[in-house]
Amino acid sequence: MRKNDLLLIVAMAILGVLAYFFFLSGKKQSNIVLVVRRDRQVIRRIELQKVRTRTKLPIPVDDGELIIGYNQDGAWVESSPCPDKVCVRQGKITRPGETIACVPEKILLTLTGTEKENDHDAILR
Amino acid sequence: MPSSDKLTTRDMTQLGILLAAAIALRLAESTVAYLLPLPGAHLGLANTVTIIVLYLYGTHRAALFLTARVILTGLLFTGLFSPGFNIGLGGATLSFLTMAVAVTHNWFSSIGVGVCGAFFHNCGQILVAMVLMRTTSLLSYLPILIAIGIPTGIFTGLLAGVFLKRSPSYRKEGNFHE
Repeated sequence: MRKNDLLLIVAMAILGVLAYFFFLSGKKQSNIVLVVRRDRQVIRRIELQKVRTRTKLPIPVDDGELIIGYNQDGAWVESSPCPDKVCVRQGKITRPGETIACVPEKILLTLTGTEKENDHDAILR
Repeated sequence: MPSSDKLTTRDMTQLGILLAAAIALRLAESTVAYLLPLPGAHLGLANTVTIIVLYLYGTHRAALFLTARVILTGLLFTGLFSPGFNIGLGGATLSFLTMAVAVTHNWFSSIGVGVCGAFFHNCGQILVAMVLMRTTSLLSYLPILIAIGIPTGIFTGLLAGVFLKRSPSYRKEGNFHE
């Protein structure tokens, strides 16, 4: 172990902490929106606050069907036809900024706080 | 550093054995991947072999070695040019470039090289995934990837150092820095 190694490790640790505060410091909010995208298109937008029960949402994808689960405090991938199942094993996301990506099936789940959504008066396509 | 530019039969044999070891380690660690907190994460034992090859054979041969490893791992596990393969390729490429620069300039011991490799492997993976998904929201994986990358990088680098210290062909050249 050399001095440079230590400096590198410390720099990485600082970067990690900064990245944490930058991307994931969003406080537990009551009105979180689950945004589901398939191939970049937003296909569902669900206000988790209004969700009463554990819900399963099947989404048709190239290899079959990917099932998303969500309840009042978060979302997860219940099952997926993709080969590696990274998305399923990632478990539940509960905070704004958190993401689950299933790259093979091009599905992206993100949680956003509601303030962010109100930035735009309208979105023109 | 390579003693000559010609690839001798001896070099090829040694690299072949190391390649087999790297692939075996990759397979072995994927069976214990559940021990790590992030799905899809690996300890990076295959990277230990890449570091060893970088120190013993230099950048050119290590590049050759890694290309062979990536293609073989693709054929054996993920399938060539599947999304998983492309993500791995991005990680391997970026981590190799930074490790090669770090080794050539002798900035770190093998530990620093391991940490560099782990960090940039993760960055390369995220970058490719971001291009594939066309989204920046994957950057939110960065904190956890850094948190895992530091200890696994130290571990793989340390292991490479232990190996190199015992390797006669490396000690002979007298260029091992503790």
